[in-house]
Amino acid sequence: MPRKANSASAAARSAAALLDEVLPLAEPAAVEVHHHAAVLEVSDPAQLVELAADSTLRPFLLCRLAANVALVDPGRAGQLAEALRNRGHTPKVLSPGEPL
Amino acid sequence: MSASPPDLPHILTRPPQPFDPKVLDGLRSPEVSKVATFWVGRGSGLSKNERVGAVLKAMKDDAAAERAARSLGRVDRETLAAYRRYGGTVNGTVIRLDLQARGVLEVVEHVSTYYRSSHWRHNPLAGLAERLALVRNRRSSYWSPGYSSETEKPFPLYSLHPALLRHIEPAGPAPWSVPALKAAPQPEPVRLPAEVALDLARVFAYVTTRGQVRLNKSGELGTPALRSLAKAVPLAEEPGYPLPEVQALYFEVLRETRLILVDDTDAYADPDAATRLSTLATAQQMHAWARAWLHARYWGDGTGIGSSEGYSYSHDEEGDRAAARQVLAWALSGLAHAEDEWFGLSDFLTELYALARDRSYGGVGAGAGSWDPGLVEERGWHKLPPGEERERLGWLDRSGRWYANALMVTLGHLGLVQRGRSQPGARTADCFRLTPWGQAVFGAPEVEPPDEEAEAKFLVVQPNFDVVAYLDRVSAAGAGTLGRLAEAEATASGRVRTFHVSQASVYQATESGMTPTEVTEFLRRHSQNDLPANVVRSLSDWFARRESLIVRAGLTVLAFPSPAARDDYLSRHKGSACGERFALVAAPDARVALANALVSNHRERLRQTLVADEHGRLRATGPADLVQEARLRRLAERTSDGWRLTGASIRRALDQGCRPGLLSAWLEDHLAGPLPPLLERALDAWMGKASPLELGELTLLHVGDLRDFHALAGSERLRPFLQGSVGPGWLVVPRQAVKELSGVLKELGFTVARELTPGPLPTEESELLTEVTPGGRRKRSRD
Repeated sequence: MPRKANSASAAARSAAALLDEVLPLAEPAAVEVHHHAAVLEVSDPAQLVELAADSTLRPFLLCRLAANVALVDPGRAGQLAEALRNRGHTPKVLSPGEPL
Repeated sequence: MSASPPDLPHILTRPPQPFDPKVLDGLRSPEVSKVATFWVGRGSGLSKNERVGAVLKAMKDDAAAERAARSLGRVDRETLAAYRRYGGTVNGTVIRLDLQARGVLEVVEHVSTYYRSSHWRHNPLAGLAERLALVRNRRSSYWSPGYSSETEKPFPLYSLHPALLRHIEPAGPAPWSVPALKAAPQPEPVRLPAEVALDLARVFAYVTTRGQVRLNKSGELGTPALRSLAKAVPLAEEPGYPLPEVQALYFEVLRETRLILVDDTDAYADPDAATRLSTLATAQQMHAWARAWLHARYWGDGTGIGSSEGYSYSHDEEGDRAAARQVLAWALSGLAHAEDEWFGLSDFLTELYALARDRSYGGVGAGAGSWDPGLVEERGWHKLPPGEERERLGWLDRSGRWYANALMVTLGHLGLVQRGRSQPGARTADCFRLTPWGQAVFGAPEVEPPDEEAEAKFLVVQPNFDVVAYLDRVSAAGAGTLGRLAEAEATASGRVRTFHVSQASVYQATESGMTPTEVTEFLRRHSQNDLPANVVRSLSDWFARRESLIVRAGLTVLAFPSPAARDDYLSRHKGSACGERFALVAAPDARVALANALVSNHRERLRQTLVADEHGRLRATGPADLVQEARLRRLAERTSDGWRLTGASIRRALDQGCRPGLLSAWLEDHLAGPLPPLLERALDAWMGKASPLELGELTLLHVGDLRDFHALAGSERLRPFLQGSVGPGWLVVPRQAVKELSGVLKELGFTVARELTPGPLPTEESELLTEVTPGGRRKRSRD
């Protein structure tokens, strides 16, 4: 049992390390305001690893804002949704003005 | 449970135009007197300005408007009642036909040896317009030649004065009809409202999934877009009544019902409108489709889209095509009050010609490729001598064929008209009747629509996700909703159809505005059996998958250097926390202003604070924001004093999925000035787009004088000693020929120095814009 726990914990560490490499958590040094921005939200942070590891999707994702939220490359939210659909995902696309 | 039938307005309902007081400014004093006499009750004893003031006051006074309406004579009142029937504004041809049918207008003919002319025995419209009981519409000034009689011209587009609207009782249906067929014909299958709704839903789903459909500059669905639509949404055709570009008709109906919106040259779906339409009764939906056809500017009956009917103003709301559709709708409203009668197409068109022939403009034509009802056997009618018969045949061949296509093909396809043949197989025996829904649409407000079952059990949902639908038991709304959430067989037709529910189809439904609960409840409510457990489970899984991945656009993202700064902001402002240092603000609340913040607009302009040098070094003129930092991390290497573009960094970015165009766009987004040309070429080279270069050792003969150069280069004698040229003034000499060439040149009197004196490197833009080809010739690379 201890071995299994260790193995799970190692896997989690390696996923976190991979995510830090492909989609690092942003660390702003100053106050920033980004108008007309877009984000990708996932229910499980592990999904972000899967998405960011996909070289078709990765260029659309710039950095993580939170464990389960990524900043989308400016002006490309529509293309990201299309690319996600083409990769077999079914993203919910919320238009500007939808409540958070 | 049977829903109560909805009240429908007349199909041609059009509200009156608001009265513009400036109309009075353009009137002369006697004209103002006539207006004042009608509206105020007196016109004398006041100055012109006082009369204008009194008229304007009366037009705002309901009691004065009622008094004015009461003062009207019988014929005037009947005329305004006809306007009131259609909401207040009536097309100039339609009101002519209507008032003729009611006997308000009577034609007086003059026939002589040389010409035939006619005029109105009494024209009440002119007098009503003089009193401003009817107001000429701003859009009524289109071309009308003077050679035809006044009885064959449309009236100007008039509106009933809005103040009179509630004091004029609307007239009933105009007493116009066509003798019904005595014998029952052979009926063709009727298109069900559910079939039409399904086809509309499929075209709508296509636009929803595409996100946007590109239109051409004039706003039409262009050929490439139409081809893509037709390929993605194949629809069943009716060989007997071929509808050109059937998908385009549905696209235009969706556009006119505002389910498809157009922004410049992009068309996109409005899920809210689709949701609203799905709550309407079948009669209301079909009324909306018929109204959409009336106003469909880009659709040509018999011709489809992308075809002109000969007149530049045919797209105008009062142009030929729109006027002809209104005339047809008016005529059908006359037939709609007959109980389930069949009418011969030829009889109908002959009666319409007798009433509607109009020589004041070119009329409409369906074109050579349209459905041919065989109305004119003698194609050489234009060779007949001028006269009634030639005019009649000409009208039938051109305008009659257009009316036949609009009636039998377009309206038949929309389920408003049922086709039949009075003699099976005969070409000229086409006949028709309005379907019960068509009677309700064109017979409104008097004719009530059929009852319909709102909660009809018309589906059988099977464990393999197939859904069998009985379309003759379902409303248009039900069929439309089914079309949004299940995939139909490509070109299936008929009343029993099989659909398939899949993750993709359900996803499409939710993306087009349906909620997961609505999808499940729709299937449950209309299914004859209990929903199979595996179907319910899969639906639930699919909805959860969609909810687990959300793309949220149009936000304002706020970034803070510390969690405390972010929390402090959120304690005083709207927004949602995101991670430890970010806040998200929805668009309506997005007017945030933070002191000393780095501001970036992701839709318009990103921060341009980077300067590049030839070494690939990127120097920042200000702090990098989130976007700059993340993009630089992808395409450059971090150095002790900033970032540097290198071959390795660019290749790494390409390996990670970034395309060359994206990398160039990213740099362009953030550079404060142009890239140094050397770095620009290096970037291309790193991205695999390098032009080949050559580097080696050569022995060159430099000939400074161009006349000498041309003489040497063109010499047959020297050809064995020369290998080529690298540009004007420079000749390449093979190493083994140097000694011999020197001897010949010395013999010819030239002095040959042992050292070369190359000229300066090019600095002018014109010189920089040239490139040297491997053959040594120079050419312009771009101008």
